Formats: sequence, structure tokens, C-alpha cells
Amino acid sequence: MKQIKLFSILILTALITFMSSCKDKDEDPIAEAQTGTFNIEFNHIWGMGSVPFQMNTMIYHPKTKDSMEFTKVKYYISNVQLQKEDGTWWAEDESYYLVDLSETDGNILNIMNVPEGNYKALRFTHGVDSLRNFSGAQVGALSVLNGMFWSWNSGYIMIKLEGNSPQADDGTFRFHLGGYEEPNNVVTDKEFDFGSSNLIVSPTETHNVKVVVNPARAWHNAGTLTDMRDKIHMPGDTATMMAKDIFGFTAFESID
Amino acid sequence: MKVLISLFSWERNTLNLLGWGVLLLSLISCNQDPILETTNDYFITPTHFPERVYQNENNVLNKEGIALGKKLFFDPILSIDSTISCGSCHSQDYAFADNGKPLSVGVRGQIGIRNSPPLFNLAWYKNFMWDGGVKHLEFIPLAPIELDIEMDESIQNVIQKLNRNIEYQNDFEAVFGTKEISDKEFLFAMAQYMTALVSADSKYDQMIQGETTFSSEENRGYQLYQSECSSCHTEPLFTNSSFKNNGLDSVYSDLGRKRITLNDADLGKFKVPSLRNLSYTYPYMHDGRFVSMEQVIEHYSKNILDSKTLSSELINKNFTAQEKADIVAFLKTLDDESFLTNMEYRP
Ligand code: HEC
Ligand code: HEC
Repeated sequence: MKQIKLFSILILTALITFMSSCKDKDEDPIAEAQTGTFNIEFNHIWGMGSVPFQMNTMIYHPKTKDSMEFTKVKYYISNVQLQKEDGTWWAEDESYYLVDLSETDGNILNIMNVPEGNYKALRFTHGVDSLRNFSGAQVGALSVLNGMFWSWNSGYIMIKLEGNSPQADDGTFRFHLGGYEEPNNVVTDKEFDFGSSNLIVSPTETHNVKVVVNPARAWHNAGTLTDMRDKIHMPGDTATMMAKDIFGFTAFESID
Repeated sequence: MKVLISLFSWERNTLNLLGWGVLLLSLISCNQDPILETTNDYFITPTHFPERVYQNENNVLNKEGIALGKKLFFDPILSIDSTISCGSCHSQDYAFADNGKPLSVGVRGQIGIRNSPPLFNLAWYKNFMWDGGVKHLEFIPLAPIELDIEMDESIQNVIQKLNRNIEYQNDFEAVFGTKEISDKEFLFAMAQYMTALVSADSKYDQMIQGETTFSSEENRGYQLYQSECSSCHTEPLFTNSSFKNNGLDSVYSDLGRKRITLNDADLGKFKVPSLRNLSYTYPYMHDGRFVSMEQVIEHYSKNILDSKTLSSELINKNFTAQEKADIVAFLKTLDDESFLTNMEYRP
């Protein structure tokens, strides 16, 4: 009895599939729109004096007075959107990127297949949106092979800051900051109005939207490496404060 | 219809073949790419179970995928020194719990910190591990692989080792159409095997389906269970996937759920385990402290320790000897022998 039922369900499913798959057989040919590429270039400064940030060099934190040499700076950017002149937004599909300062041009994201046009604002998310933290195995920037995923407390590490410091207990600091659930949600949406400038996207020219990030902000409120832990490996209130302090500072610079 | 959940039974395969056949025909007749749009055709949910939590239309269960997941599950290649497989700590003879050990042994003979739980009906759970740290079925293997006291390996190395292995390259190509193995295909295959581990053919299940009846002892136990235990160990999975403190301790060496949330309100709370297959999964609790069901009942009867996070519905139940025996009789109706002997799960 049950088998017969099962069988009819299968047939029914098949029939429905048959009907629905035939219905929209002749899809409207999507008009071949022109597209182009633009870059988001992340430039890093260190502290308020607008000193350029340098990897693998001992630098001095203006507020905590700690000396820090960064060996790894890696963070997620997701859900890139651009606002058209008519106020509507274009959103990139599957928009997940990893900024990695150990790699040449690891600070530049190429955003491709953007519809041609003039754009007046940019949005992106610092971190990986909460949905993707719940969605199981992923590819590309979200592959767990990138070393940006906590295996025992599943979720993406939104930003990794590692290096050496004489002020740290064993000479090294490691801050793996993340968390996508309240109260320790560090995922931060950013929106930048280009003001008087415009981003032109066309098949023939590629422009850069320059954005400035200040890693020193992570220790702006958290304190010195000796006052607090010099290693963080999971979401929590300090991690949230540090990540939000960096992400909150991120600002639009210019377009060229 | 006794063997509801023999996934691989002849009848089922025949029906599936017919179903797929009709489906394929319908697709071909419209001249479209043969993209299979239905999901889960290979897998049939026990009729008295709710909908599965784990559903991934990009990882439709199929016989080859499950077999590949099984091969990986029993292959020590996943550990750093090729000594430990998932099967070392999760053995089918014990409903995929560890064989009677309170704490399991990882690479280099290291003793773990928690009891290895049995593995079944995982596709119906929302979170995994005693503290719920893993929130998606596909992410499960990462935890044991990367934990130093378990397999102490990195996922990057595992993927490299698999890619150097011609047999695995061919296996992955057969299932996922690519010789180049990435973490995604690896996790998908593991998820298929874990999803296939379904235990739903105990005496209780047969009773629910009207195929058998309980003895009066079992019936009395069932009623006691319903009034005293079902708020947490909820039918038909016998867990509601919540985190509770059931009064084992008042001082905690293991923070439990608080380890993940850092919230004091979660101190000493652990994921409610299923009550299925208890005869095979001793010892019990997150640290394997009780060796028999009688000891567990004794705990609920008179040893519940009070603390800030103790679940409010738990007070010492003061069961009579008769009641204790009745509850144990009922718990034994949740044993599913066929789950232990199902050859399809064997390496
Ligand atoms: C060294 C022993 C050991 C090995 C090897 C091991 N496990 Fe486990 N497994 C455990 C322990 C212990 C737990 C409980 C961990 C915790 O709660 O923190 C566990 C928990 C689990 C759970 C959670 C079950 C639930 O109901 O929440 C699953 C699923 C699981 N393991 C699957 C696997 C897979 C797949 C592998 C191989 C990749 C594996 N295990 C390898 C010991 C082991
Ligand atoms: C308030 C929720 C709650 C109630 C009610 C409850 N339990 Fe539990 N039970 C738990 C939790 C939580 C655990 C795991 C505790 C741990 O390991 O720290 C557990 C563990 C168990 C285990 C061990 C299972 C294993 O695989 O290790 C058994 C057996 C058990 N309970 C039986 C019962 C029985 C029988 C009753 C009714 C008399 C009952 N429980 C009532 C929450 C509850």
C-alpha cells in the first residue's frame, strides 16, 4: 500500500516537473547588456597620522604604545553593491572576497560583469553575512581551505590579525575576530556616497574606488597587549569591540 | 512494512529507478538540459519523522555518494599519522558511539575530554557536539580532523592527500564529476554518509506504526517517559536539540554550552542526547560517567544537583523500584538492532 502511494507520488512529481519545465521553455533572450569591471582598492593606514601601514615591519601603536610587526592581515568583504544614478542598486551575485595583505595586489578586488553606467555610491559588508555562516560547504573565498573558518565553533573568521610583539606573552599576537550572532555580531554593512565624484563602468575603462582601512583601530578601545589577552580565537565581547572599531572606521577615499 | 528504513532495499531501488525514468523522459521530451530538479529521491524519510533539517539541493543523496562518504569515514588518511579514522571512535557495533569508553582515544594515544556520542538521525539535528559548536551537518568533519586530541590534521592536508590518491580521484569524479577534489566535494560526500545513518526501526517505531504492541511494563514506562522525560527527549527523535543542565554537577570542569556562547546562563548546559539505542551506547552523559541505564534513572530519581542553570522542570523524581524498571523497559524499546547490522553502513 505504502509503496503504491510512494510510486504515485513519484509519478506526480515527475509530471509536475514535466509541466513546469516545459512552460518556460522559450525564455526571453536577455538583451546582451554591456558590462565592465571596476576595482575596490583597500589602502591601509596606521593610526591617526595617516602613516602608511606596513607588513613585516615593527611599527609602534600610537595609542597603546605597543610595538607590533604584522605577519598576517586577512579579512572578508562581501555583498558588493553599486547605486545607479536613478537611485536603484546593482548587487553582485555570489559576492565574497578575501583581502590578504601577504599577497601581491591582495588588497585589490576586481569586481567584474558590472552593467555599464554611472554609479554614485558603493555598499559592501565587512565580514561574511550570517546566512553564509549557516549554509554549509562553500567554494572560492568561502572555502574552508583559506584557513578563515573555526571548525569547533562553526563560523567564518571575519578578520585575522597576526604578528610579533615584544609586549606579547610569548612574543606573538593572534587576533581571530568573528561572530555573526548577537550580541557578538561583528558583520558590518558599509555604504559610501561618492559625493561629487562618479564611478564610470564601461567595457573600455577600469576605475578604482579607493577605500581606507586602519588596522590600528582594533586596539583603540581594547587596550594594550599586556592589559588584555594577546590572542583571541573565538567570538566574544572584546573580539566584537575590536572588529567593530576597525570596520567602523573604514572610509571612502577617492576614485581614480 | 517492517523494514521501513532499509534505504537500499530492492523495492525502493526499483521504485526509484522507475521514478527517475519517468523524470528523465519528461526532461528529454522538452529538449532541455537534463538537470535533475527534484531532491532527495534516493532518501526516504521515515513516515513518522518530521522533515529533515539537512537538505541541500546541490548535494542530492545517491548510492555512490554515500559509499564514498563511507570510505572516507573509515579511512585513517583523515588523521595526521594515518592511525585514526572516524570509525575508530564511532563504531557501528555501538550505534556509532565509542566501544564502551567514557572518553575516546585520538592520535598518539591521547585521551579526549568528552564521550563520543552515537551517530544516527543526524540529518534531523540543528546543531552538533555536546556544546552545539558545529551548526551545520556539512561542517562536522572539520572539528574532529582539526582537533589536536582527535585527528590533529589540517583540512588543507586532507584535501592534498586525497588529491594525490588516484583511487579517490576516480571516486570523486564518479560522484561529483571532477577529479579535482576540493573541500566542498569532500564535505558533501561525508554529509551523504552521515545523512544515510538513520535509525527508525526500533520496537517503539514499529509500535507507532501499528505493527506491534508494547507489554504492560513498557506501556507504563512509556507513560512515565511522557510525563517526566519527553519535554527534553522529545519524540520521535528523542531529543529536542536544546541545551539543558540536567543536574549532574553544581561545579563545572566542562563549561558546556557556555564554551560557545560565553553566556553565564549557559554554564553546564549540554545538548540533549537522543534516547535511542541506549543498550549499545553506554557509558552515558557528556563525560561517560554512568555505565548503565539504571544509574541514569537513579540520577533523575534522587541525585539531581541544584545550581543556577539547572533546568526548572527537573527535581528529584523519587521513582519507585517498579517505576525505575518500567522506564528501563521502555528505553529498551528504543533499541534498533537492524541499525547495527545494516550491511550498507559497513566499511
Ligand atoms: C578521537 C575520537 C573521535 C574521532 C576520530 C572522531 N570523533 Fe566524532 N566525536 C568524538 C567526540 C568525543 C565527540 C563529542 C565532541 C564534543 O561534543 O565536543 C564527537 C562528536 C561527533 C558528532 C556529533 C554528534 C552529535 O549528535 O552532536 C559527529 C556527527 C561526529 N563526531 C562525526 C565524526 C566524523 C565524521 C569523524 C571523522 C571525520 C569523527 N567524528 C571522528 C570523537 C571522535
Ligand atoms: C530538562 C531536560 C531533561 C529532562 C526532563 C530529562 N533529561 Fe535526560 N538528559 C538531558 C541532558 C541535557 C542530558 C545530557 C547531560 C550531559 O551529558 O551533561 C541528558 C542525558 C540523558 C541520558 C544519557 C544519554 C547518553 O547518550 O549519554 C539518558 C539515558 C537520559 N538523559 C534519560 C532521561 C530520562 C529517562 C528522563 C526522564 C526520567 C530524562 N532523561 C529527563 C536533559 C533532560
